[in-house]
Amino acid sequence: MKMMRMNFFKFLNHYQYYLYAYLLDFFGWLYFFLVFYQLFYKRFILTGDLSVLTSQDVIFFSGVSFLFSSILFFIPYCSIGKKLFLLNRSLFYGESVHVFKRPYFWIFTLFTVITLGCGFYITQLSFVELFSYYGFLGVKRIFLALLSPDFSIIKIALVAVFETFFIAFMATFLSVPFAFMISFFSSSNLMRRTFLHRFAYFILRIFLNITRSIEPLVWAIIFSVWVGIGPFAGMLALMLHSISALSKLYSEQIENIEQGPQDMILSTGANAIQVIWFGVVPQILIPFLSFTIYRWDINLRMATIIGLVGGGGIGQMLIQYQGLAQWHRVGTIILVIAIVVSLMDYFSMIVREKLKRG
Amino acid sequence: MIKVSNLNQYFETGVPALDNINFSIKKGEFVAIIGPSGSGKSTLLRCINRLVTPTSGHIYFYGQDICKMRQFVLRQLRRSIGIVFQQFNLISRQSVLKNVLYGSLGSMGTIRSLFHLFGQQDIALAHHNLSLLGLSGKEYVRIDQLSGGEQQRVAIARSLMQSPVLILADEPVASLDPVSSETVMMHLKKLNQDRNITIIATVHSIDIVKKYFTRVLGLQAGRLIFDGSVADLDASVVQTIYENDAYELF
Repeated sequence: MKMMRMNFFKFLNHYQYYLYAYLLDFFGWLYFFLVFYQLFYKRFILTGDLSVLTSQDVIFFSGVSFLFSSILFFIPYCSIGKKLFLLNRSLFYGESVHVFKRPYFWIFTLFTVITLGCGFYITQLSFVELFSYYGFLGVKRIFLALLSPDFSIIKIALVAVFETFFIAFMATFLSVPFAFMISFFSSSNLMRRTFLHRFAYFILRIFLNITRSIEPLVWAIIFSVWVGIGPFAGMLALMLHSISALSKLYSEQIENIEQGPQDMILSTGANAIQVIWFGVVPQILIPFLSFTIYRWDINLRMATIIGLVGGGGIGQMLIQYQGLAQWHRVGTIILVIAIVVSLMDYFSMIVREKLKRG
Repeated sequence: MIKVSNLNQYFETGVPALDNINFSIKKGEFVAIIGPSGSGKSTLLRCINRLVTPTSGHIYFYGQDICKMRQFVLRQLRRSIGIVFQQFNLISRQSVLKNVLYGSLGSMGTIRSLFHLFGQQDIALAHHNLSLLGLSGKEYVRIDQLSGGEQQRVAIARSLMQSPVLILADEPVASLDPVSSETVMMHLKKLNQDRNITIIATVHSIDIVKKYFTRVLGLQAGRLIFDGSVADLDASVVQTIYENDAYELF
């Protein structure tokens, strides 16, 4: 009975992949026809302006690509999906056939070419603009200004870079205890015992993924509305992002620890808290420290960017002078940022190397 | 002292790791469990202090069923059973003394243990145990600077902190060189004779079994196929126990 059920699922799985393969083909062709119609047919053949894509067009091309992919799906070696999901049987073509003689290769090439063309068009790539005379004049002017910095504002710049440094420091420092706690609850090896464990793990993972996938820049905008423009908003934004990023790194480290020392502590009659404190923590302390320092380094770089949207510090100063087009002063600020960031980068690298060895 | 009856343990795939095991052990015995790799030796050993929970069956320790114990009672039980592992399982970045003191974690209050506030008695006992195993003078050396044999002796010293009535040893000498294995086995033998501590060990070297142990349990593919004194362990029995393994070789 068990055997039969397994076979049934195997059977289902097999056909599931045919569905995936077909869907891949369908959307591939739909994409091809839409791009071709919109960017090439309308532009070069109709030579009209590019009107908005109507829903009628989409329905029409869905039909076309349905027909197209359905027919090609049943012709051997004409479906990319079948190739990707390894559903091709070497019926007409052995795998020894040269790649140029396999139809799916040419279909894939066609898709690649049209995607590249689409990319060139959308990014408005133009060598004329890149090498124009007036463009060169402009870039010469701005570089000359940036390379002759105005040191009259160096004192304010240093104060501002100090602010940025401490935004990064506080964001890292305050995120560590949160991340430390969360990491234990979001590591799968400690959280698979009961349903409640797994549920909490699942919820935490979703929360972490969401906060991590929203950039600190966006968080800074949100927090600058919440607590007002300034270093506090920037710090909160970085802290939130650091919590989720560090939790992820920490919990991955916890997932890689050895079971042995835990068994040892457990077998002395210790309780769960003691097992974590003596069996888990000593194994992860050094990597955690290393991750934290690396995160501080990242936070310093991010803190400058966050200043641009009102997170305080040197970034905010940079955007102000940029707005006033005072390029000499912008040059000073860029110089200060570059020195501080590279110093931090260097020291964090040294400390992490030492930790790795010690 | 220990009575195992109808013990079964299945892997998640449904393959039996232990298949209907029955035996009993008296206090003060020095028991070796032998068998080819994957025959369930370690699983059986780990069932006794329930690092592995058996699927079904009973293990009686002084009349109490280990398999049905609640967490709290189980922790009480584990305090009186020392365990020594093949890979030593010590905390490698910390000192010898601390690793030995971790043996007394079970009898300490949680808060005190988190701040490493070990009692004076425990510290004195740790020093005593270390000198017993010939490690005095190495108390403050880090574990990762010791040799394998020394690490295993630290592990034994740690298990002595629990004042155990039973020591389980999971391949205690498998990753040691011959001289260190002799030392470790000598110490185990001495503990068995002087303090009347029951010792159950999984071993894969027949020479060591014949030299030190008094009783042998032979496992093959999860079934107990031999249970007797070392005197009964002749070549034909050994061959029967390792039979399947020999087939796999050819």
